[in-house]
Amino acid sequence: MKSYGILLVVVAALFFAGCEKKEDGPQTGSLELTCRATFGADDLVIGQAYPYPVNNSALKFALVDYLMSNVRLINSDGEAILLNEVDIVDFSQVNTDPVQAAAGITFRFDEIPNGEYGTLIVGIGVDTLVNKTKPQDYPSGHPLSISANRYWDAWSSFIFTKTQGLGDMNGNGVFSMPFSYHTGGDGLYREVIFQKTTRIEGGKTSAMRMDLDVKALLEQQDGMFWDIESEPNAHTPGAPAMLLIMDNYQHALQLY
Amino acid sequence: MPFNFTRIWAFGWAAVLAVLLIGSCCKDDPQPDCTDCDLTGIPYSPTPYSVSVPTDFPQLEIPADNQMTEEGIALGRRLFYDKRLSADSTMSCASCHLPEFGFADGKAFSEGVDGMNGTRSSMSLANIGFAYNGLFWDGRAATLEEQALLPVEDPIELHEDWNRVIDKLVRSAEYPVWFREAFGIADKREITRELAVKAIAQFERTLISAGSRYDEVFIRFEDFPTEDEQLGYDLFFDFEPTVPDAECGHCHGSALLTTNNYFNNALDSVGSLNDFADLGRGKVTGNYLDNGRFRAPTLRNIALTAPYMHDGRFQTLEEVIEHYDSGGHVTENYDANMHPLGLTPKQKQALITLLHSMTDTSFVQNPAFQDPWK
Repeated sequence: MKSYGILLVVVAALFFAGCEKKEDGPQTGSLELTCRATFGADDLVIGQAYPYPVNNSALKFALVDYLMSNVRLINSDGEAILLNEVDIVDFSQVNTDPVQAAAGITFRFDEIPNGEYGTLIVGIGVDTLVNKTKPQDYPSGHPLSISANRYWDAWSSFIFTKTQGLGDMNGNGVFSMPFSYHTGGDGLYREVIFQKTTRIEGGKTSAMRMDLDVKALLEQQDGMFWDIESEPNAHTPGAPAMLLIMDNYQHALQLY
Repeated sequence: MPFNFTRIWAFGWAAVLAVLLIGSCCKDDPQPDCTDCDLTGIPYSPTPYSVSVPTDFPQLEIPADNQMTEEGIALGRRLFYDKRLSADSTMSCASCHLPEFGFADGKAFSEGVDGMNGTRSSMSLANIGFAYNGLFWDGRAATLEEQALLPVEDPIELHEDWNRVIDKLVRSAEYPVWFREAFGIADKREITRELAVKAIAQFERTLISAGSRYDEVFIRFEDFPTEDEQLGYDLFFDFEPTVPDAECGHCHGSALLTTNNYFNNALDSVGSLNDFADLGRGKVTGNYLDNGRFRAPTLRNIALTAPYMHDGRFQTLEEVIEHYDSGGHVTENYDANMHPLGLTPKQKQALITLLHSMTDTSFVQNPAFQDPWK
């Protein structure tokens, strides 16, 4: 009888020890998402000239950025894990030389439950709920605060993306044509869905890379490129250039 | 010649005494004898100051170690206007930041105590407490506390030594009491430059301007705009598709009428970005593409702060509007929102009317902001 008692204690001890061991391991891992900008096959360097396939022209970019929001991973059960609310992906202060342009900007997301995820969703801009807020609602340093310089009163909207620079429109080497495409407005929020499997393991960091091809932002459905000289600015939500750019984010972003 | 040990000993002692004497003369912090330095007999019960943040302004972010009190603000105001902060007691912070000029000074370049001119125009301090993206034209100071440290020792500004300033404050009859009341120091020798700039920063955070006609009409909607004001507003913020976008709102957006960001607004034609006479932001960041960029100032009280731009090159608002209408000079890093606007005379006038509506007389005449030494 006594030996049964000892056996019971040993079995119970092993059982609980096993449970503890299981809970000891990290239940969450991290994901690093590196965002890069390219112009076609080349890394995009701020201030560097890139041939543009309209009238032998060329472009130099001064400002390329976008709001990246509601980034989430979807697991096989369809459960969404929200990774961020909103960040600015701003290449203008980073892609100032080829080395930094190649390295890109890395965002780290922690506390992601372990598991396999087959889908990554990235919002470009902010959704209508967030777009009802104002910059003054956010503390300094926040991606939507006043000093982030991302609100346009006339649209009652945050500026979702900025693509600015100078063009040499006739191939004479003189970059004298400013262009500035800001986008925003409730109807222009876009979500890009990537089907790519990634595994999050406890205590480990997985990595993904997301490249934005700025050239592809300006490509029209007919394969022609946007005529910058004719329309170097976009002022109202729904303007053709704004729609083109926002719709093009769907395929100008590639996940690796 | 034989050694004279007596003479050597004498020289030796003289040398030691000289070193000790010079050493004591060069101490950084000469303080008075302290028979009357104890301040603990003076009550310390600071009154918390509550800031009323105007409509559509961001929150006023106050450092945890410099919470605002009535006593701290009063001390800061006295220091701000006190000419003892300069080498020859002829200038104070207020010499370049006068209320009647919207807390600028009406000059292209401010003149320091030695008669030397600075290289940039004095900036307005209206709503400076809400500037979280760097201070000065180039953003080289992160906080008001950091900023206030610099002009005192700048050779082209007050050109004084902080140690001497502190000595003057410690030896004065009033300041030890005021520092005690503001910060609870127990001994007058506890007055420091760090406490002095904290007080100045507290005062500066009270310099809130939100009482202009612009606020009344376009922020609080308490009155209807005139035709010119409405046209100016539509041009400024691109509210009306049938009139040109004057592109002003990109740099001067929000209720602060600035985003406190850094821009090259196409003032100069240069061959290379290294050729700017003043590198501005680029000198701080070391980023070539930041050369020639400067912080966009608030447009509140802009009609009072002429001349304009970081170097005061434009005497009037009309000249400023003409510059922006022209599109300025193309350079590698100039803001792409700069381009010829094609404004009509009526549209230019409407913009100037709007800019005048940003004058806040209740701010510049606020008794709480005036010189307490008068």
